[in-house]
Amino acid sequence: MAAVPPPPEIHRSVLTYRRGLYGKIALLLVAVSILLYALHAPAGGIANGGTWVGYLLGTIGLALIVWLGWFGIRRRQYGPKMFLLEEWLSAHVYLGLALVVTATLHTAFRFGWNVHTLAYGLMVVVILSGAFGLYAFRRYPAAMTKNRNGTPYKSLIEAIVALDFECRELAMSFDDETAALVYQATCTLPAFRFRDLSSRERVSPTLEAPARAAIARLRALVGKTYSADQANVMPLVQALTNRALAVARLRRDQRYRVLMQIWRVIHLPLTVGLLVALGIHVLAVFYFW
Amino acid sequence: MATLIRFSPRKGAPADPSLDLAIDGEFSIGRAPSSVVRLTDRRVRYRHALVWPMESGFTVEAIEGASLVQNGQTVQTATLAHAGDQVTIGAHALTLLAPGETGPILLIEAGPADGLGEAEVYKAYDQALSYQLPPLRRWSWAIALVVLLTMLLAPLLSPVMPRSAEPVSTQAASMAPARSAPSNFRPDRLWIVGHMSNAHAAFGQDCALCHEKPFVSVRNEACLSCHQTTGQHADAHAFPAVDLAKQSCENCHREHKGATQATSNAEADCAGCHANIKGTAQNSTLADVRDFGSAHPEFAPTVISDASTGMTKRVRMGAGVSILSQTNLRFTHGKHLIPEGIKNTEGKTEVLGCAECHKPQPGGGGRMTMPTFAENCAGCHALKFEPKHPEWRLPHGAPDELASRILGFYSQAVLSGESFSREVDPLFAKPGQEPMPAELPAAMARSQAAAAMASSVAKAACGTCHTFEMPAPGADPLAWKIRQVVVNPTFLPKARFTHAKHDTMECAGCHADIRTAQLDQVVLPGIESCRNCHVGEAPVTGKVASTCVSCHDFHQHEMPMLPKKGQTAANLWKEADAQVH
Repeated sequence: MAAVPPPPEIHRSVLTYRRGLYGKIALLLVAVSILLYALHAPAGGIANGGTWVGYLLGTIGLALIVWLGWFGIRRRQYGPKMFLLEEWLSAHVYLGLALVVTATLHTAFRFGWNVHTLAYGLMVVVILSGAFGLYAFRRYPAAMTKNRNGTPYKSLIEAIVALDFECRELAMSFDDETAALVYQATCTLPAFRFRDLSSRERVSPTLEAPARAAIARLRALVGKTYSADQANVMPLVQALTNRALAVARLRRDQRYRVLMQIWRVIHLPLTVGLLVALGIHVLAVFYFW
Repeated sequence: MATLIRFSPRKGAPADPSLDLAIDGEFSIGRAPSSVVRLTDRRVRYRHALVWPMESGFTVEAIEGASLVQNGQTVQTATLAHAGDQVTIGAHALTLLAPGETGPILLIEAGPADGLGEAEVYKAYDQALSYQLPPLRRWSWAIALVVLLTMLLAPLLSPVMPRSAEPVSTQAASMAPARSAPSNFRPDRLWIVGHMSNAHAAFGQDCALCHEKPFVSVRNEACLSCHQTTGQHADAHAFPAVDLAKQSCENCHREHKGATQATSNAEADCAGCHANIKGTAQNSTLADVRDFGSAHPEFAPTVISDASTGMTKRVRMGAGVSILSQTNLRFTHGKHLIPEGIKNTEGKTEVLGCAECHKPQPGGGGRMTMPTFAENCAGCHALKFEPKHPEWRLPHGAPDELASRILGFYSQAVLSGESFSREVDPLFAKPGQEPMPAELPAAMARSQAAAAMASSVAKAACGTCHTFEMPAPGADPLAWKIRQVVVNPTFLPKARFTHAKHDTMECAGCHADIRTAQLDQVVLPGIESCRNCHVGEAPVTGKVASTCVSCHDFHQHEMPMLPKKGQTAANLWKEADAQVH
């Protein structure tokens, strides 16, 4: 029986594209940069960006930054191209990371409060944000699927709404105070805030204050009310808890979705700032040629 | 008699007969499961009201904490006496209908739903979860603008930036003060690639002093406007390959690299030419050198080969080679460095060592001072010359005056009546000759002076230490000539050895025993002596790493790069050549 050819891959990671060809190219660039820097003996023993090795590393860095920035234009272009966008991205990621080494050696670890170090700092922040984007896109889609357990986003909200009304209905059998607490705890969702991205909620889902108060009150009621009400306590606690879990799941889902985008807020505008600062850096160096 | 209670799902809708409820006597209304009439609505309290049937209607009484609304007024008790009377509990309207067969009928109509419906809640959730990323395009523009304004425009507008078409090196020569008042923050600093060296920091605020024109690298003239005496490395006529005027100062001297200027001093930079000097300069007479520790020729001191003309030559040290440098002195160290000591003029014994005569240059200079007669010799050497007058002393250091001073001593003595003439006895006159006539005073003084010159210059006073020239036959017998003492200030003029940095060493640690040296012999330590402590550039444990520039100057100041005023490059070289020889 002839071997069945493996099905074509639907998804290839940018890191393994062409078996990491661009990773190897990036490693080569890093190795060459380090070798050049280590073997070069600059005049006076003080390495700097103005030696021939410095100019070489700087030119490579400049070309890389312009090319990396071009990705922002390439990704908006459609139609047949020589290199797939996937391939571009793979190279963008690897060569962008290699740039840290090349550019740092170009600086020769000489920093100051000037446009040169500003350009370097912007570059580092842009690369770090890009690295986070890479991390987010590699980790969060799977985490999102696991978190939602296969439920579509829309169903997740619908489930919460259903639980809201279930809680409210069950609350009708309880005293006024309990009912009021359950009403407060349901049919409401605090608006999204960016600062919640770093909140502790992402680690363990916590009940929002009204739900917590309602459950605490229900627990206190056990044994104190009529036996007819007793039977209703556990279903309501269960419903409130289920709602809290569903909300936490929804928030986690949203957090992932925001984090997969938020790095662009740093990556894109600072890239523009970097390109401007880089231009001024080159101008300043040759102005004082 | 029973009360019939009917329920309508909303205002005006027909009652649902399946929900009809017949009750005897009084009953309770509330959310509580135990209520007789249960209304599951948040607006209804857990136990809201009690109802008593009356003759032709009901009395409704709110339980404490709850309230009723009748005719638009909040009340505690309401009476429904006639058909159509109404009271509201929460959103539920209780209306008394016309009595039926069994008794009064109460219609309860549910009010509008409480709160939002499911679809509305869903919509609200969707809205609460929505978010908007900041406007990236606008942020990009803003950042670009901020960078442009602060990093490009502000530095360019700084008054110290070079922009004039005219070089300002003429101003630099006069060390023009910075053209802007120094302040703590100057935007041009945003373009500086590194700190100025300490030497240049004083005028470093004025960028245009060195960077004369934008996009033009710093010209040598800007450097030489201050560093006027900076010399060529070698005779640029003989060795055009090393004409520094055609090189950029910046090739070796990098500014903006911190407190110390980055100056090229690697051994390899020198060895590039000097490892095979003939390859660069075919007619060079220099020996090849690559590394002080392993590939450096033995020293070739510059010695005076002819003291009368001051002619010098270089003699390579080596086994069996005596390095002699003429001095016109007859001084020997051996006679002075006697362990038992020597007697001075006062009869005391002095034991002389090196340090008694050779002192380091004051102020930490690298050379040793030349001993002087007054300080180092006069204690023993009194320069007496006339036994009759032990108080007479020859002047030292004034050989031209010597004859006139001696003649002066004798003339004065003769004039004051003293006679130095021999007693002339006619009996001793040779037969056939006139007896020697008694000398006239002037002649007497002169002949005495001549005799004193002959004895003291040639032998006792001067001749002990100095060489001299006798008067030619027939010439003035007083015309003795003490030769000028010539001593090389340094025997290694191409190196920059300094005793000051070696003052922890004993003299004998490097110099051989000078007591056995022959006359005029230079007891200079050879390279092996240096190599006891010094190695080349590559560090060796326990040794001092030394590069070429540790001892040698790259720039030869006797060959300045810039002709002085009224001087042409051509006669500059002639002058320089003359100075070298």
